[in-house]
Amino acid sequence: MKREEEKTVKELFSSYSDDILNYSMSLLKDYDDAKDALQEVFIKYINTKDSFRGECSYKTWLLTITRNYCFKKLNGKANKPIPLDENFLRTYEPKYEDKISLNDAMSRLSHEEYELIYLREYACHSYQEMAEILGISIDNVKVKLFRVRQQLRKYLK
Amino acid sequence: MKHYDYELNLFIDGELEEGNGEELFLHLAECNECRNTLADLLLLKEKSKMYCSENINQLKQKPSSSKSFYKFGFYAASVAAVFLLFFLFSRNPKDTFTTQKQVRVDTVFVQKGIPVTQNQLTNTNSLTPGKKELIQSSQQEYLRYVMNLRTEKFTEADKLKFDYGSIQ
Ligand SMILES: [Zn+2]
Repeated sequence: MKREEEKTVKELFSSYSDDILNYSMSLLKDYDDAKDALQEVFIKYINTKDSFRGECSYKTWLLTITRNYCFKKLNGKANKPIPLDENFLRTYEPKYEDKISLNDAMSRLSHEEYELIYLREYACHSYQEMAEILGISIDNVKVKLFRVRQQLRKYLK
Repeated sequence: MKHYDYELNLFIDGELEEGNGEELFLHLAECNECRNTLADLLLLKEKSKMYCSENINQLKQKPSSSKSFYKFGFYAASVAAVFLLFFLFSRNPKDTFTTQKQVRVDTVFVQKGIPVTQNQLTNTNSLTPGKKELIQSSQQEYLRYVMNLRTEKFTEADKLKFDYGSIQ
């Protein structure tokens, strides 16, 4: 991939602070924590920018940092894949499925499940970008997204 | 009959590889179930997007959920309480009980759970000098911390701090 034009931290901040803030909020579920994350991400970026080789875009690089920070903050589970089916809606019995709204089901998703939906539907990332941010293969993105949607579909009523 | 749930997921994301579309469309033309799946997936996509968007707006609008605000409020209250105690107890205890009015002030505090005994008066007095300074110094630390958290109010100076020139 061709290296993007070099950008100053200031330019990156004005271009991507909203993306970082929203992604952090989707994981941390707190505006103030997300604002902390935004600051931490740029500090981390400044400290590590020499290792940025331009294999991905600045945006996905920053979002990868964001993800690592947020998961570390959540419980240090970054990059530890969690099987989707085991964790899905663990507190509900299947027979109550039809009484749960889609929004309830969405709010019951694990962080790993929700971020797939967020990155695809809200942030409109391609599978390629999602793979870079999540640190998994494109095929893995396809399968994971497919599974979350299969689960959510049951609550479409 | 083989159904195409998986491929439909790719299709609605515009990620179906070229060449795989024809088979899918031929199947869709004759399979009611897959047409329903497609409709579901499109609806789900729309609703998921709405959910994410509402979720973000709600989080942003939470009355400055500001933990830091509450932390600060709590802190300010504790400091005020300590100063109040200091003020009350550092006065000569003899004066405290000279008029009806002042006795009543003390009664209020008794009801709030601070029994005024001679022992406590001396204890509080002996505590105040060191504690007071500790609290004053940590208050400055804390304020600095709070100021650092206010990312939404990036000042020009803050921006310059971030602007390290061109990236290597
Ligand atoms: Zn079919």
